Amino acid sequence: MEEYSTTVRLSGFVLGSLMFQHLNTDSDVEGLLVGESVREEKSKITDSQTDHIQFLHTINIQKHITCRRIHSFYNNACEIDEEKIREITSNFNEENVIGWYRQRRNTTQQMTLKEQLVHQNLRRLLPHQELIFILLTPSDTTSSGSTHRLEYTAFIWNGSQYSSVLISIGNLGMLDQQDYWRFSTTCPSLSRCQAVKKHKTKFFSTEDDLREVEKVSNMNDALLDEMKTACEKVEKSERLVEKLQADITELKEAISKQKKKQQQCNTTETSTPNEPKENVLLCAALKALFPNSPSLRTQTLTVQGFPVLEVCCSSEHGIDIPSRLPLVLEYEQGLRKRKTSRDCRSQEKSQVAGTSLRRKRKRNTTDTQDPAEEEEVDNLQDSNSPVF
Amino acid sequence: MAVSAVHLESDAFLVCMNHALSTEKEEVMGLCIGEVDTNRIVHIHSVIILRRSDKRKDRVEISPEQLSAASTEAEISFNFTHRLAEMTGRPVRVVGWYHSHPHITVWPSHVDVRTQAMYQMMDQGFVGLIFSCFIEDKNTKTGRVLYTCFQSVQAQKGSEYERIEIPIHVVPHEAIGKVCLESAVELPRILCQEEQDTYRRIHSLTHLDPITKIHNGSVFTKNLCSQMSAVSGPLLQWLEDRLEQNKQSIVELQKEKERLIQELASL
Repeated sequence: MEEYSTTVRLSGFVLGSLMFQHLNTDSDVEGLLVGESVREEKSKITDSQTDHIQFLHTINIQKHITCRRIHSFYNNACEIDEEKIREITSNFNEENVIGWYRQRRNTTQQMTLKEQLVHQNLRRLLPHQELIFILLTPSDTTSSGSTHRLEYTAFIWNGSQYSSVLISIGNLGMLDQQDYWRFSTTCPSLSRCQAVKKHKTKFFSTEDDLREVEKVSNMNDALLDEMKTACEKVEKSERLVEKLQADITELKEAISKQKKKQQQCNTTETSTPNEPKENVLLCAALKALFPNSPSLRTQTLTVQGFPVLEVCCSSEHGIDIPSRLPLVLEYEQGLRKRKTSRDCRSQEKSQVAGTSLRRKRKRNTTDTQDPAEEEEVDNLQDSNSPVF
Repeated sequence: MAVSAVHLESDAFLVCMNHALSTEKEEVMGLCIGEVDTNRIVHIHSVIILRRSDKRKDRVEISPEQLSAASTEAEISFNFTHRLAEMTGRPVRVVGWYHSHPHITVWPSHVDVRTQAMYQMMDQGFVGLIFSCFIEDKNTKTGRVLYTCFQSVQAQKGSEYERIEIPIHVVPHEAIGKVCLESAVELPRILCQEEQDTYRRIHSLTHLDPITKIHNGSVFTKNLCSQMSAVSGPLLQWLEDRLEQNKQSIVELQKEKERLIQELASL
């Protein structure tokens, strides 16, 4: 008769480390498990059976490899990214990867379909066929939040389905102080015999101190010193990680501030079209052509269409008219000439007016100018508007 | 109610859990260090593992006088407190105690409640934490760990005390503090000292014959080897793994820092 038994073991420090990882994360966490698998065969003879064989399989988990985020080594179709697995396990022998784990809050202790698929695909990829999956599910026990619980189970594929395996936490157990003998043996002859006297010196360094006790104490002291050194190195690395994280947070804040500042500047630039820019050349041209009409040099009109005199431009823009606005200069000169000739004509008009009566009498016979045209010319001469 | 809630930093939680999981055969205990704010929230940012001179399988409480002596024994003197305050940058004092319930329910026993009530006479804000571990459901093959926080109040009837629940939140603290690391590695040292004291007491008995002494020496060797195998070894392994993990994090963080510096310079 054969009996199969599988046990999963990990130390309290590994379980504590897993809990620590999840407590520092808002979301689910997952990773890989490293360890070794030991098989043992035991024969058990009982009164009823002489061929009872027990196959014991112990899976020891030595450490866990944290994945920075979930779904890091598989995609949504649960296909394993071999490259990623190699990258994660680059410091370890792939044969030592004995499983993977996942921690999810407030859920049941059952593998989801996705987890089953990932597990099957991992089994195909990794050399260790009896891969385990450990599921940890923390939850609140009381509504007040005073009591919290963590449940954990290992799952293993047994050929047809997943079976759960109890996880044994390796610990000190009881150092049974009952093991110490407080009284001497009851045979005085044993203490006095030659064999004990002869070989006693191999065990005792002095009269009373045992060599074995000294050796194991020295070894333990050395181990504690080594642990202290390792602790100091870890402490330094923790401070360095903290500092780098603080620097990164500061840099991100500075970048965010800078980007906001730039955004605000861009918004300020794009908002100026609301205010009309002054056409400086036009203003200078209008001033040159119509120096006595300041109302022409405004860009703001009332609702009724009248210029707002309060915002008329009165500033000298320093425009050199001959070089920048030569056509205006030409026109201005032309305007002056016309004005001069108009003045002359006005004088002649007054003279002509005196003789106009005389001309009127003779209009019917000799005047060839149409009186309407004459009037238009007069009107044109009176107007100040430029003619282009 | 003197306390409204307890905020336990995750690295302090780690030390408590490691201590509780170190043995399934007896209860262990320690002191919680921190401060109480104006909202009556107790902030625990480190713990101290206590050494017990009288180890019993089922009880772990100590009297207030012993607690005071334990505080001194645990070097919570002015100098230590001052040094601790300097290291952490925060005011520190003993704000509570924790102990483990291996294989038994997380709820405090009547002895625990009475002990907590006695501590509260010295300090109203004193809180108690219990870590229940090594709980196994053989049917579902599920293991379980629970932790709770409580204080004591006078029961309405009689002179007995009853527990009141105090909400407890474990606050994320990604980097492990120096004090917590030092407390964590104190455990194997304490275990070794306890074993050495026991052995010396036995060995000093004058009437023991050589065979008995050799046997007791072997028991000492066996027990110390158990400690190395079950506690020191895994703790050293965890420290090395943590260092390795931090080294990888440092490389990644440095790359990100350089990238961000370049991004800031380009803006």
